[in-house]
Amino acid sequence: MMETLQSKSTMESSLLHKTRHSLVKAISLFIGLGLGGSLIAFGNGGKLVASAAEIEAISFALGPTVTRRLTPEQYQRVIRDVFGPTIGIRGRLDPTLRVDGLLEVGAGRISVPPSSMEQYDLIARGIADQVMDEQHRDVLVQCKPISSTAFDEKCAEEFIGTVGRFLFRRPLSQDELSLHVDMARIATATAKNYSTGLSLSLAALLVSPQFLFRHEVLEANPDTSGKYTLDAYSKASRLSFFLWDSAPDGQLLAAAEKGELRTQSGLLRQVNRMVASPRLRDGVRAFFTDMLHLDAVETLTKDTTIYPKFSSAVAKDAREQMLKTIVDVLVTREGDYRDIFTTKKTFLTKKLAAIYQVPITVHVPTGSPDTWRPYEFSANDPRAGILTHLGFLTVHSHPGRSSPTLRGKALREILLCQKVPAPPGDVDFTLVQETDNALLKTARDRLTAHSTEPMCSGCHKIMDPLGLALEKFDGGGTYRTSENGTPIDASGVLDGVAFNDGADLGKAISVNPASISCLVDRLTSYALGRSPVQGEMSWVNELYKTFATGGYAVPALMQEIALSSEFYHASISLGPNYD
Amino acid sequence: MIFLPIQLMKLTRLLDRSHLRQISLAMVASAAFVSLFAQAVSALESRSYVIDWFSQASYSQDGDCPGGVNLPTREQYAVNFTHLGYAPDEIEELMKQYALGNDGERNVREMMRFRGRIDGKPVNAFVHPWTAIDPKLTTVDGAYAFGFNLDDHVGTNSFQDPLNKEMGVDNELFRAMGCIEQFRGTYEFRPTFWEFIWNSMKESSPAWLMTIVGEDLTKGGPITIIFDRAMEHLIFSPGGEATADFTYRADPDLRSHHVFEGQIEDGVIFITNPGFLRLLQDSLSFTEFVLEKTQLRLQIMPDGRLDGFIGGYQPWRQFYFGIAQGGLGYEGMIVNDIVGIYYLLRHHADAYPNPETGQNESISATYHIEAVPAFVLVDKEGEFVEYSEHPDVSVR
Repeated sequence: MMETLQSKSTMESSLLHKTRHSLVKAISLFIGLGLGGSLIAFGNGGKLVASAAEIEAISFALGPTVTRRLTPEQYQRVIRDVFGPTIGIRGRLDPTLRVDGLLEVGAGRISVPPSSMEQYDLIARGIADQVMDEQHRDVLVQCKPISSTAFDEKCAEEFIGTVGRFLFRRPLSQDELSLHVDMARIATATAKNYSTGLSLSLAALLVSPQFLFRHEVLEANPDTSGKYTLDAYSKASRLSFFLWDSAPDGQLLAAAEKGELRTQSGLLRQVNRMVASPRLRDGVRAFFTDMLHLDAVETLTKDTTIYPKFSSAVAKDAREQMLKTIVDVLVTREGDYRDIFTTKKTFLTKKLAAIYQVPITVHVPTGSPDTWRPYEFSANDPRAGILTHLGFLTVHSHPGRSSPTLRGKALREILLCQKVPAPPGDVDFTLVQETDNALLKTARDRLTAHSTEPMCSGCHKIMDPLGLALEKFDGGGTYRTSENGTPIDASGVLDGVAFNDGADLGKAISVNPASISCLVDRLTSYALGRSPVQGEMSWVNELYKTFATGGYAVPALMQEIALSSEFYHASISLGPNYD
Repeated sequence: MIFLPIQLMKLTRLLDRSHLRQISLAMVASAAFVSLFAQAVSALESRSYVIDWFSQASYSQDGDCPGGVNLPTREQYAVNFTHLGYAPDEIEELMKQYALGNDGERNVREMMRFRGRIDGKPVNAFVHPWTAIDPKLTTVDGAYAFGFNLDDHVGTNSFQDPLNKEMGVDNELFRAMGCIEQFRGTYEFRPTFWEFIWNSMKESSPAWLMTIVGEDLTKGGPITIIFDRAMEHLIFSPGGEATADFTYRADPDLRSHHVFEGQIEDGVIFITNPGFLRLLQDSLSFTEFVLEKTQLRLQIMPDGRLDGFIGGYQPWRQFYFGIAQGGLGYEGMIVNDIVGIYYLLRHHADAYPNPETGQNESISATYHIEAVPAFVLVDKEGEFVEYSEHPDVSVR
């Protein structure tokens, strides 16, 4: 028995070492080719078809494709979709880099370094072990082998082919299938256990760059000579990650296989199906998590001596509250994007209600997990819209105090897509940090004094007036009317629209043209995995108009993007720095 | 008032007679208030609180226990063996074995558990404390104690409150328990026993709620004070401090619902019609907290919390059995002599004499309580609302 285990262990180690080694090499090659949008372009015959001159001409009109690494959320969602919710991810996947305001853009700029590869490998083996354990394999592995100790090639092929199609988001090539079936065969023979053999092969699929990276393949555009478009499976994948933040389902893959995605009617059928699906909520949540920087909640800390109600559980609830509110406005009630800045309707847990200082009833036994209740802030409550939610107020504050500057910067950069320069390296922040300054009692007083420094005033003029509108909410998000005994003045002006408090600021943001164009810009960047290039701006301009005429409905805008040919067209670029 | 008989009929089916008596009293007492309440309904506001600290009010001072505080358990056991007639060398050997632990310790503990005697046979002394010898524990001999003048009488045996200087303070519970080390404390420093009890209670029992209702709570004037037990436990932070502004539902069980007339005066909340209070628990210790002639003195703090005292006459047997149910564990770790406590309470009980025996059944007591702002919602025909939105709720 021990000999078997040792032998199994040695075999696994050897196989995995080889697999890991080759995978790291493969990923390096993958990244070398894929990062920065470069991609091998294949024609129908699988060979490079574009000339250098053609590439140069097309690059102005169309941006390149981008090879994106799965975000941790996408990885989890794909595993859930393929194997079900009872398969856990045992480990922490590498976080994604934020570029141009979006993680989805950063996902095209990152790799898997060797040290992280080990973590991916461990997680993959953990998933594979769970899929093959007694609890799951009868359900998840349809084909029953002739023996639990002998290799069953037919069954192995069926399982690897089926699962591989979902994980690679396309059918496995014959070479890929043979490789993984061979791997399962050798492992089964050594371990004398079919499930172990299959588990190892599955783990290898899960660390393949074909799974970890959203690799897109171009083909010649059949309608336009000299232009390129995503092949059917890449199209399906881009569509699915955009609308559902997950890999294509069986129907979408089947549509790709049948060539339906090459026709507008076939594409329309699939897009309509996907937009009508409850899974659109996943896509909307993923986009707004990215756009609003809600991932920051993961690492949010507060000084609990100052904000005793704050905890990591509150932080998670705060993020969920914003997402629930946004999905409720945009998807459930099919509302106007601008309403997310003004809506009184939201959802609360008891923990959040305590910070918002409102009563809610949750009819569950003591000790039960916290549950969500719909809640509508009263007309005289100072809260309205997501800017007055904890998810915004706490993330854009310091651990022990509020920050009109951070809040103003976030409003400018996140919601209005305006760049705020970084502060100089030698700024003296003493004045703004002295919250107990006897003369400068409010943040407005302190920032006014700080802004007399010429090197600071320029940027603070951009940020502070907006952030000060939220000063009636402290760094923990609790409402207050005074600071150090002095009434807080939260008034200001944004592009000619006056406001008196945070709720008013929401109204001002909602009617600001920049907030509309910002949403469209972010959504197109999110969809493409990069900022639109010059040649794509006419398409983006059309989207602005469509968004307005469609009543600022975000799902409709997503649908419009998903049906646009520009969403699938791309240039071929061999250089890493397309922008 | 048509709902009163209906409520009583329902309750008759649910509750035993002793419960019913108290509920009826509470309801009738509150009925008078309802009419006042209803008149002013449009102008009412309410503020609610959840009690986040509860402890016997101790004011222990150096030298207030003649001869020092009572002995620790181990030494007290040696004394108890003497009372049981053991010779000094036998006691020395027993205590030596006790110190070594294991069987020797178990043996001594069992002997102490069964130190009661009925017809010469050992019986459980915690259950039948009157069958064991009174160890005559030391009691407080001081002039000061927190509390209230419950009997409107300033006698030679009464204390003076060290904070508000009120004379005639009745707090015999403090006198009785104040020389047991784990019951000693001050306003700032919580007695060990109560720290232990409260930490157990707050995790195991539904929270206790208090609501004040009045026309303008920012000013002084008459108010209504409502006590309830919650459906939820106290919510506290990982640091152990109660979290303010959480929402609690008032338990529809009327046994823990009591309404008092009160007053806010100079930022202090008082009860003006001292009466009966009972708050049920699902406790590791006391099954219910009962006071007669309940009085209250709670300071409204600048941050909105309440801090102060609640006092009245407490049935001492409930208090005793709350401790005795802890048995050897309590005796060994928290209190030094459970039987001794029985005799202390019995001797110092100062109210509500049994008509047949003359034995006082209640003891004057004062507890230090703190409370944080909370939302308290009550059921109004299936909808949970705040007290200010439910004028009839005082009799629910």
